[in-house]
Amino acid sequence: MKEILRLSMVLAIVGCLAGLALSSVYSLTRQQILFQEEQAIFSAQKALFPEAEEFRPLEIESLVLGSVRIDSAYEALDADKTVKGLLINARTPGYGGMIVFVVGFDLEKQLRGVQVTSQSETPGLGANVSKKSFLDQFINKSIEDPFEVKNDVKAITASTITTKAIVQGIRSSIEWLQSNDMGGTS
Amino acid sequence: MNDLQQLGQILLQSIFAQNLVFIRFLALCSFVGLTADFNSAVGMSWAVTFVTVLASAVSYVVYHFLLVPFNLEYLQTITFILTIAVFVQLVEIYLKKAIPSLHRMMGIYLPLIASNCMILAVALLNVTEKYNLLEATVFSLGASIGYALALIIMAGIRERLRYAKVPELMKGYPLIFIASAFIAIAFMGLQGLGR
Amino acid sequence: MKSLLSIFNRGLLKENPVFILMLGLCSVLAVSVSVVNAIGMTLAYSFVLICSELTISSCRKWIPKSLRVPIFILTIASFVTILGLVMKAYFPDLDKALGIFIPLIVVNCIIIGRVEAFAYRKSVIESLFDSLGMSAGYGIAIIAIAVVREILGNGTLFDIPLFGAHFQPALILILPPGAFLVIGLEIALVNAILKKTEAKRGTSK
Repeated sequence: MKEILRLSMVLAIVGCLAGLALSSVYSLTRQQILFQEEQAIFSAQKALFPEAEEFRPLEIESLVLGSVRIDSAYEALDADKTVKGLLINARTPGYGGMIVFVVGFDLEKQLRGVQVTSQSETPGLGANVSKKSFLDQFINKSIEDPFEVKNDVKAITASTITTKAIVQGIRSSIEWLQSNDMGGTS
Repeated sequence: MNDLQQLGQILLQSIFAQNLVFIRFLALCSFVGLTADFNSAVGMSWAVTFVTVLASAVSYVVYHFLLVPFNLEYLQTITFILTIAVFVQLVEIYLKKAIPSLHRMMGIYLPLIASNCMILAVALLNVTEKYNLLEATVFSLGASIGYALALIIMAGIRERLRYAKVPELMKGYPLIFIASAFIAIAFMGLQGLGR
Repeated sequence: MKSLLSIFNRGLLKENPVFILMLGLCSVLAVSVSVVNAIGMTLAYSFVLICSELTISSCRKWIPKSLRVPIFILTIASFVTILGLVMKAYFPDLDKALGIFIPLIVVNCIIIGRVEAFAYRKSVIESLFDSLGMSAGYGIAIIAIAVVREILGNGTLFDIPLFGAHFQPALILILPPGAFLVIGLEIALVNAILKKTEAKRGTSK
């Protein structure tokens, strides 16, 4: 009996020490971790709206449109707090996993562009979805374009699935935009 | 895409396109160590399936009802590994007493499973992929089937290789890895499956 | 001092955790796509191994034999969690690149094995050299594989393109099959080297 008591005491002490160490490290790093997570989205959004000073999140519920999940939406505000455009963070299933991206819309029914924040497509092929050479074609593209791969959108070489995925993602974002009555001038 | 299609996709992807051994590089120690004998491969596969499916469900419950409500998500690694270790112990004791036939089939592999990285990986992936309980269970089932497939294929190949003429340098591990490379290529070819 | 150095050398060559003992393979194959990531993984792994061995070794007198495995797991998992938190806070890119293999350091057979077989029984100084040797051995292995995979599979080293725009790299090397190929060939190479040195030692005796 005494032995079990002693063993339990030792285990309890070790557990407490571990708990103490972990919770201290956690509280020390928590702010920094949150900051890093915000930075990840911020830098992609800033790339689309360099003139923006602030990105105000919109109160929306994350929803799924077909296979695309809309995560969040932000308004881009410049230094005078005027709305310069809208950004949608969404994810679409690609070839090797989810492609997480941001689409920026300005106030004239045009795309500011697309940034891919995370993807695990085939290197050298589908992974080119993150490259400027592919994404540049979406800059100043009208939201009323058909967004069809091959005719309207130039595909990534030998990566039709990846191309279709990102195009579907953009299409669903436009769909969401229009159904929420924000497709025009605000 | 309705729910059933979603589940089917998770299952097929985890067995083939995102096979945990050949594509995601998990459970390699047991893959290399236990495929010399066909029977050990089968026994280990059963043990892994059993523990993975149940342990991932238990980890899911622990995560969502213990860690999340108290904002302790950062403790997931430590909690999961402890849960798995304790769970494996309990399963071994229970099987020995209650279902001795099952224990005879896979009992000796149970202690080895505690350090099998696939089980912890499945528990962690259930969290990062934000699966619900049903999706998590299907995923762990698919992962285990993929693992079993990998072990059995490799055990079969190794048996054949025993009778082949192999250059001295390549004998043993080098050949196993090169064979795995080709199997991995085959699995990569299945990447379209489950779209 | 000589015995300490021999402890270090053991982890590096004779009992190299990856090429000889065949442990910890998962992270080695998965993270060796780029040399930068391989170096990062080595540092992460070394941190956990060294801290765990030092902690267990310095407390070994107070750890009851029957409780040692749960305490080992608690200690290693705590260091892994601390590592994870620090990485998420200050090295988020590396954290994302290494992904699930950071928490998986917990079940890395080498660490638990070393702690049980060495740190629990030997002095702090000896444990320090053992963990350093094993870390170096791991590092050499994973970087050796990463160098081949990145140079031939991606045409870069440390993300710097080496061969100019028209070089078509052997893509297969940065894909999963490539990992198996490279490690298979490198193990064969290590075996060849070991055989040669043994033959030399045999003839020179």
